[in-house]
Amino acid sequence: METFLSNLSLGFSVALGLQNLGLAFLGCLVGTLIGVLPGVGPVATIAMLLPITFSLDPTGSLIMLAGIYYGAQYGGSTTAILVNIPGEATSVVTAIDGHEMAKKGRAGAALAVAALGSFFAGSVATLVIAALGAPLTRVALMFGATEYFSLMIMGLVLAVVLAGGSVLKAVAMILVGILLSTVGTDLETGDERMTFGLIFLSDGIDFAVLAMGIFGVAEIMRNLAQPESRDVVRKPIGRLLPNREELRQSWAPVLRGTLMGSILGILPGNGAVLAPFASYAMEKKLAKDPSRFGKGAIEGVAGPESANNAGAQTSFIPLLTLGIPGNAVMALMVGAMTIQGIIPGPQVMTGNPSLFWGMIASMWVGNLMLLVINLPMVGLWVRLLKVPYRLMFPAILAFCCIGIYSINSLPTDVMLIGLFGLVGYLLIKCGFEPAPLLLGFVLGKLMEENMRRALILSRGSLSTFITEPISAGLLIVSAVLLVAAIIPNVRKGRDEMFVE
Amino acid sequence: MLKFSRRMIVAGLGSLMAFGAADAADWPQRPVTVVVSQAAGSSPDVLARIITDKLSRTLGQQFIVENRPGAGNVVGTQSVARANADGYTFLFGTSAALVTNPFTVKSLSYDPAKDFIAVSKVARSHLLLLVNPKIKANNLTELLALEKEAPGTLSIAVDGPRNISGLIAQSINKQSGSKFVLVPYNNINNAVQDSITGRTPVTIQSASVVEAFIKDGSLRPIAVAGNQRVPSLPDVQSISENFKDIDLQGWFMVMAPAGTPEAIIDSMSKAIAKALAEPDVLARAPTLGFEIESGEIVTPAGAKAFLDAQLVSTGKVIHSLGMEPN
Repeated sequence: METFLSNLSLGFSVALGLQNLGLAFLGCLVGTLIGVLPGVGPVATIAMLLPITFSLDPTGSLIMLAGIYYGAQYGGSTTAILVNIPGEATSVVTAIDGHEMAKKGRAGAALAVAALGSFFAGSVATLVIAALGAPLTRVALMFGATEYFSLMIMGLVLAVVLAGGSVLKAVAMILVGILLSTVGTDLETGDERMTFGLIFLSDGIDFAVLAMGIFGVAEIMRNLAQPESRDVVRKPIGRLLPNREELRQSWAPVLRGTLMGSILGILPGNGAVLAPFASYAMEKKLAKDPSRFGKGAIEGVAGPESANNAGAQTSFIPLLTLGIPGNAVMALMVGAMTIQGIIPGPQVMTGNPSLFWGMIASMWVGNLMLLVINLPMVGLWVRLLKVPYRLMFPAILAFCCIGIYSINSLPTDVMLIGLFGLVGYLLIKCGFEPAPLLLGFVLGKLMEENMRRALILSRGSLSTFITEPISAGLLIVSAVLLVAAIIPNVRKGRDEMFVE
Repeated sequence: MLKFSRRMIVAGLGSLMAFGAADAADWPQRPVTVVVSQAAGSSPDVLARIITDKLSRTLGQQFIVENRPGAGNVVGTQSVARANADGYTFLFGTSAALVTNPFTVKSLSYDPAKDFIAVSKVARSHLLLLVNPKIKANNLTELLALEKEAPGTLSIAVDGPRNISGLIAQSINKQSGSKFVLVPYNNINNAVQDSITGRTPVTIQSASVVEAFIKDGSLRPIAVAGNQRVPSLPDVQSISENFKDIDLQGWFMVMAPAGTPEAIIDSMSKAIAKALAEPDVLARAPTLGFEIESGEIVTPAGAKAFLDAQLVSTGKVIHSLGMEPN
């Protein structure tokens, strides 16, 4: 405990230095801005800023880059809530209830709860990294292809729970999502699948393209089609900060989301992607009145946002303790470290303690800064909604096009968001929800890859999924969840009898 | 006086119209684009940014890295093949784009020998064959002997059957009769994790990715791709020492669209050679897993000779696998 405290105080002495404070602030600010712009993600930004970090000292440059990363997570939720465009897989869930809240004039509360929940989650996750980072890594190493496949199955079951309406429609959407994820080059044979010989499809469909089209552009079409609901914003803004009732409803989801995110973030196979979905599904299951979800339930913002931020933070654990980056941003951080002559891995903690602990302390500092940057901005963001929609939607569309083009420099991506927008609009009209489709898309890729790899490693034996204990456990949990999702129809009847 | 103003007009027109047959003395008059056919943050991208940073300083114009990833380097490479040959677009070419794709991709939209002029080979990227320390082998011969004892039990992590690591693994299987099972990974980091834990006890990875694991002993390098050993790992044999024909390696070469004025190619090549000799570039490269080139191979003629030889040797390896482009 004593060494833990002395480590932390070493960390804070580094993180609170004037230069590092400045860099953390800069990183958070840039991160927030690029997070708010749809499409422009932290990966592109960090890559572009890499040469700037050559002239900084290693600790300072990593603090700045980390700030961009979690700043982008904050900023991304702002766009999801205000205009229903999730820039990253992790803010898809925030868009569901967050945007509904915005429509009801509670955008301020949604933004504030997202910021407060994220701050809490970030603080806890920082402590988790500091105290448990090293031992938790061993758990992460136990996850191989077999385990990841079963984890993805669990994720898909959660997607069924996630959907608001009919289970059948949700399953259909998940399957379409999985189908879309199979477009592209086959990993094992190198053959092209469902690309129709089109070169821009040979790497598959980009998540950002699909999400921006099916959520963002479809939302704009829907708004334009229904003049009465268009001016969400005509309504009085109301209180900016959440009221007592909303805070009371939020604290438990924040705690649970933090726990969920902290655990899933540790898995290096992009497990953090599942965290907000899992948190949402859990909140919906635990809620007294699940029907409020999808119509602006504050728990549906508080839980997933906390899970998202906790996961973003704990995904540093495999990087810092093992040298294995958990996602694309972490891989860039490895690049930044090696350019500075620091080889990520367990030896950083012992060989370079001021960098290691300084970075951990700066995470907390950065989270505090994000709160300071974001809370006052809530008012500004909400006022943005007052801009008449006829002026707003061309701007949103323009930003989407610029953002999507900036990812791959492909004009076809810009056309595709239009196409997916149309598809998304038709789906909404027919009563299908886009969120399960996106989850199916994200998980489908990981699921296929891991299943095929698990089967190669087991030399074709399917029983590997049951004989591996962790995998078997996850499959059992999935089965239980699935039954629980289907049974309410049966149980509802029974409950009504009791009421009688 | 008159000459001066005319040059200014030419310069103005050039920057406005995005082309201009400027002679080398005037080049560059406006920002120069260097296309990287992989995503931002990938290893060619990092190296391209280090070098263009230097070029911007020495040549007095911004050198901008443009990432055009996609279709296994095809998207970015073909965009430069079709670009104006005016000295304002260059390719930061990868070995995959220039010598592997011509034999693995059906109806490839560019021809590396005809559509491009070689400017400079800038670096070699070390591709190592490594084993989990539980595997009792210190070189390729010992590994092959182990494999012969229990054929088909050892898995080898690669990044795809048509990528360099996959081609190397298949060629080893083909030439030695071994039966390593190829396990493809989209994400190199998952591959590394599985090799550390022993799920895929053999792997082929770029040196930059595995440096920390070699240091702490969780992976043991037993061979390096290509026909030369790595200076920092003098005891590790090159794959060509065991298999003469398997000379597949990772490297980066700056290319210009065919038709680019020779004088510009020469200026660019000289500026690159100067950048490559800068102490901080040389200091950074080894930690990134690159061996920076110098001398003849950095000149246009040296780079072209190397490219031609690699096209022949790679073509031979892929044909011997009986692999058809698709």
